[in-house]
Amino acid sequence: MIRLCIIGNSHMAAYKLGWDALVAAGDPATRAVMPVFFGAPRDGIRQVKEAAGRIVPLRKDIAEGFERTSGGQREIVLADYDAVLLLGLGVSVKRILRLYKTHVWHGLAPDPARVMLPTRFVREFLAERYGSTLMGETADKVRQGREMPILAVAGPFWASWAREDSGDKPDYGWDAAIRAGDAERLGQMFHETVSAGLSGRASYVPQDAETVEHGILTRAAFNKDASRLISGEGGGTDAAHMNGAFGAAMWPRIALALRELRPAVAA
Amino acid sequence: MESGSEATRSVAAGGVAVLGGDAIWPVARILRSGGVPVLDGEPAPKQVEPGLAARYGFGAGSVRAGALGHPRLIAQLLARAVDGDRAGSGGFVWTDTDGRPRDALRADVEPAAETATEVEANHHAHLAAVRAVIAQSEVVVLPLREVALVEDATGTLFPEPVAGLQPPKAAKVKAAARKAGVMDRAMDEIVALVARMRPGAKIRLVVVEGAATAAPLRAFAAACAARIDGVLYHPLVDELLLRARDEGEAGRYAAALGRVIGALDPVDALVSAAPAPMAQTDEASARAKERGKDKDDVRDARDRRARKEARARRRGRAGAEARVVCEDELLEAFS
Repeated sequence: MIRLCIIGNSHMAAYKLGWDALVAAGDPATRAVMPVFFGAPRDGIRQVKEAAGRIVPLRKDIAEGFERTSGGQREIVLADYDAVLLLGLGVSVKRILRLYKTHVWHGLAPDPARVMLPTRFVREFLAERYGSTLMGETADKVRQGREMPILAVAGPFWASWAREDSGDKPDYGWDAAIRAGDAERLGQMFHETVSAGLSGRASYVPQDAETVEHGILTRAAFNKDASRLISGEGGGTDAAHMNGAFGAAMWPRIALALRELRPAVAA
Repeated sequence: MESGSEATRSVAAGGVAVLGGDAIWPVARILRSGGVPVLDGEPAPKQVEPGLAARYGFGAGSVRAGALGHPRLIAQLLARAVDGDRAGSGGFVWTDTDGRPRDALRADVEPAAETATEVEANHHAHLAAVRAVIAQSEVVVLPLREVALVEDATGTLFPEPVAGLQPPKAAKVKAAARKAGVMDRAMDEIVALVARMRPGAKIRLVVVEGAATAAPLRAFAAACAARIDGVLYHPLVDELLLRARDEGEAGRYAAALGRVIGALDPVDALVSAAPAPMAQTDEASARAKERGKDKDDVRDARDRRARKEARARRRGRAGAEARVVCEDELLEAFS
């Protein structure tokens, strides 16, 4: 049994719902892992410090969030766990899409209106940026407290309907990338540079391929009713967060990564 | 504006183009710090870490051409830019010690690539950027320095190769011959090529060299200015550049550079009460930037508020309530 400490933001909800669904279905994957969730909305996880092997909230509301999501613990005692899973924490494909609005690199559709960059520079630039996210900072704090396996999962790609109708949300250019035939390569660059940016600090687990559409979006089914399930609003207004089915699809990947990191414990 | 046109590049009309520069002499950056509207045909992404940007030659010149410095290299770059796609491969793809292809014409800023096709694609995009900045410049600044050149069997010139860079054997690369009059001819060619891309643009020569080696280059630059219409040179500008570089960001010397860089008579421009039309003072520039930033901040905040209110209206909720969606997600998943 692997005791897994999960630290994340609002994207954690899908994983909790997915876990509950797998437990209810008697999925064998749930017998090998014992997850404990420590959540804080948006970038609230920034408000913690490492102290003598503990991750300690600096604000009352963050401690209360930990208490609520973990079932009673206001701080994280790292020695109580075999591994850590970091969720969301500022790692998103939006960063690479912002770059793609002004710059391209070899392999993408040529566009004289955008600045051509050496691919090697793109890799270094994005790896540095993704490594500087709250995800990287949090991995460093955990490692400061205790040397232990750390997995990292990015925020999910936005739901596929955002391509046509982003409503009042900013258009990050999903449709333009797909129409240009660049989306799959952008998705691949995202995975490579997040992995490189966290290298030596956390092992990156990519989004499950079955949930992905066009390389940079999540299939609509994994967002369906996410808002209703999560916030009671009726669904269809939140492209950034996924439902329990998404979390359930991700758990086998996480379990596999844990087995690779902790084969002895997993056995 | 037509999508895909070179005219859509992010370079403003009527600016200053700087061809050449490196980490030691980032001439474009020094001029920008003095409020000079230096064009940038190959800008770095926003949020790039400064050390990373410098390593790849972003911002040191108006394009990522490397240090340049020699009139023959500059003339060759401009000729290739005019030729565009017709410039071809031209044997500029050499290999590093690991056998990876690399652009030997600007190996100091362009890393090795996976394929020769990538090197060539990046090179041609670079030439397009050179055309774009020259086409929109009022003044073209050419930093001159002592540079060792090599040339291949076709006569293509290269800066002295960086460590580990290997030319193809068939290229028969050797040290470039120093013949009398080649620098003068190169300067004539530069003037003609700039005039072809941007009629009426002035060319400002600056010498970025230590005192010991600067004298011959200064004499050459002064002679060019004396014999060619539209070519400007004054040692005062060299001195201001040196002092501006050494004093750091946006100092007094950088501000003075802003007043003299496009002037026919830099001394006259410096003592004149009226600011030169090419540039803003550093204070004026900083104030203008601050005003622009304030306006942008206010506009961004207003847009964010409007989006949030629109969202809240659609959901029949007040703005403050809409703000807690993220908390809701966590609370309800764990309830």
